[in-house]
Amino acid sequence: MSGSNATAPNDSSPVLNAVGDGAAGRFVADFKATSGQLSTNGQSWLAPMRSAAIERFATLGLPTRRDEAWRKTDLRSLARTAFRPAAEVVAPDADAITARVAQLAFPSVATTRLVFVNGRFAPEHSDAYVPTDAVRVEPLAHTLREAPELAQPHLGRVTENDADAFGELNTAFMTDGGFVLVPDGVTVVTPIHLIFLTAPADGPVAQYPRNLFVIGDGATATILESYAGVNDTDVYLTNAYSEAVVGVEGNLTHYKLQRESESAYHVARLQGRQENESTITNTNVALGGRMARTDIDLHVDGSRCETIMKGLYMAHGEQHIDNYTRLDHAQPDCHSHERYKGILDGRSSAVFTGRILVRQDAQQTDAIQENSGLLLSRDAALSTQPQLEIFADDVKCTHGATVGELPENQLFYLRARGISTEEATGILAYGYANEIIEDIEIEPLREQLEQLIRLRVRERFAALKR
Amino acid sequence: MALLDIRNLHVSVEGTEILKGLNLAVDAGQVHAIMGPNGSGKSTLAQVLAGNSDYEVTDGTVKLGDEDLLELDASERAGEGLFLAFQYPVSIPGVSNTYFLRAAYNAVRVHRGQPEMDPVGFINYLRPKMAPLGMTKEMLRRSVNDGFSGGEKKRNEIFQMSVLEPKVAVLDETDSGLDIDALRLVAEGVNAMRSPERAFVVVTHYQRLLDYIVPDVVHVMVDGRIVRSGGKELALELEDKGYGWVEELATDGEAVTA
Repeated sequence: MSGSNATAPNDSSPVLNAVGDGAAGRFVADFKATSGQLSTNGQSWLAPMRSAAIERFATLGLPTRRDEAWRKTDLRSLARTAFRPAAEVVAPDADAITARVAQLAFPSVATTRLVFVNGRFAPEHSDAYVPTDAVRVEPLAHTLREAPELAQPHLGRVTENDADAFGELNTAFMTDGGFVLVPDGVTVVTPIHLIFLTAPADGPVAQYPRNLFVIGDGATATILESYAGVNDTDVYLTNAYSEAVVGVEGNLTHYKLQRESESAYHVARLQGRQENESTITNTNVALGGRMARTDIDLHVDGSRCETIMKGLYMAHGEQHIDNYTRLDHAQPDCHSHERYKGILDGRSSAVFTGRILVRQDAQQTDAIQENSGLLLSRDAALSTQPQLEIFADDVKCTHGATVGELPENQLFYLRARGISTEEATGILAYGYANEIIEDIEIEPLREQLEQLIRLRVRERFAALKR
Repeated sequence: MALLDIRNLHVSVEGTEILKGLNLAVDAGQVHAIMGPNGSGKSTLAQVLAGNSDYEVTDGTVKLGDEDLLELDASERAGEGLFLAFQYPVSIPGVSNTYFLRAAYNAVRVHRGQPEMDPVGFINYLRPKMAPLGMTKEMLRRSVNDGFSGGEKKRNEIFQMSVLEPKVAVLDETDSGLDIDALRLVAEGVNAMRSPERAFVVVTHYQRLLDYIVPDVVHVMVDGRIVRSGGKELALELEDKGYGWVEELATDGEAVTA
């Protein structure tokens, strides 16, 4: 993809020129330097979209703790780091990439796998994709080149977004990602696995994956996004953006598994829209990253919809994990169930924000939100903020938050069976986390997650043997 | 020498004395029933024996064989061969019954200086123990006691006992909440484990369970002490006369020991 008929960014843009040489200025300068190479694939509409996005980013700047939505997340070390666009960087160690892909994949079950390394599609690690008139599972860059009419109505348009600096940055720099189109009435049985690997060389890099999922009326698909680094000392920024639209009676099961390097920054957004009688089941698992922020913003624009949002995060050391979820009920007779759990150890910290908006027309909404956290160390900190905004008068909304330690009666029950306090604590922590993932239907994914949770717990509780 | 030997046991909860100088000696091979009105301290005794630190032992001794039980942590007591079948078994969401049982079994083995058993060996060890208690594969796959009916929870307790093969088993109100079929199943499970090396302490409010698990000795507990001990006919006498009868004995200070 080397087309460079892109419109050069407007050098006379007062906004871009005014941005200064701080962190935001560095991103703007990178944009000016590289936007000529950012493929627009001959699409005249993409270049102005990028330019408009970088201008909005320049106006907004990187968020700070003065922004309400970022009050508990400190971005100063991210802001101090200079990231080169990853797409310019050739991954240094091909064998390490191959090995990492093997760890992330599920050989025991059929999947359609697309792998992206440093933001670029890696066909040698991916399943062959055959674009047809029916189902499409392919790199978005390919779609933009070969069949832009499939993406253009949706890209950046799935929902009317609030301005968000990282989202704009992604739109300005997006290179590639997964495009999934499931036509009306079609069920895709094989899970679609999108893997995003980052392998920096000679200093920190930034990658900007962009995904677009279009699930038609009565269509069904399962999509998993995996994010990972290769070495735990690698410093990079993943700024990912996924959009999903689910048509009437459509059904999307979506997983995000974040296993970035523990020195990496991860910022990701999922924008979703549901039409009548559709279902979205979203599971968001965050294990990696030095700083990891996920925004999930689902717009339930149809009636009689079902929305399930599950989240599990585990942080240790100095990790900081921030999940910001927003569920917008605009239509009547919908059910939503949100359930987030976290386990924090060491000096780690986490934030959970759960906004639920029930608009005036959304009568008979039944919304449940639960979030809880388990603190294994005195130095760990969790901040949770449920925010219910209800404008309809005939709704059922409940929320509950608990933060604390393991129940004494459970610990005693295990100890009374001969299990030491340390091992009992490990088993209970494992069970606590496992509850979020135990009904995942892709068996090898569930097993992989169980294994990851067990490893995390075992590392903390040496006595936990298996 | 008694296998379980409790002498002058005094126990308080949040400053209130519940057990007030309890004596009980149970020989290997015996089943002792402890009966008594609500609030007499039966469940406190069961919890204290298992090592629940919510209860404070202020005086007395408890020996399991040669071991000073009160010096041991709850998990060490289980390792030494003490088992409590809980009155209210605890649910552990997210942890499968099999995983939990194997962790417990291996912890006890390690305590006894035996090597751990691998997952396959353990399943083979479990299999013959399942059918007698009506344990299904499904119940082993499910999270510990999570969503179990009252009867399933009690069967699961006795199943755990059969897996851990303790020296002394304390059954706390194992009959409560059981219908007659479940009661019979549980009692058969217990009877199958009776042996010359093992002792049982069966805590119950009602005589009914003792029709199925026939005790060698029956004790009546009132206000934190054993006030009367006798053979299995004592349970029938209690059924007949009610607890008011022994409560009077207690206030008369006429405690009788077997």
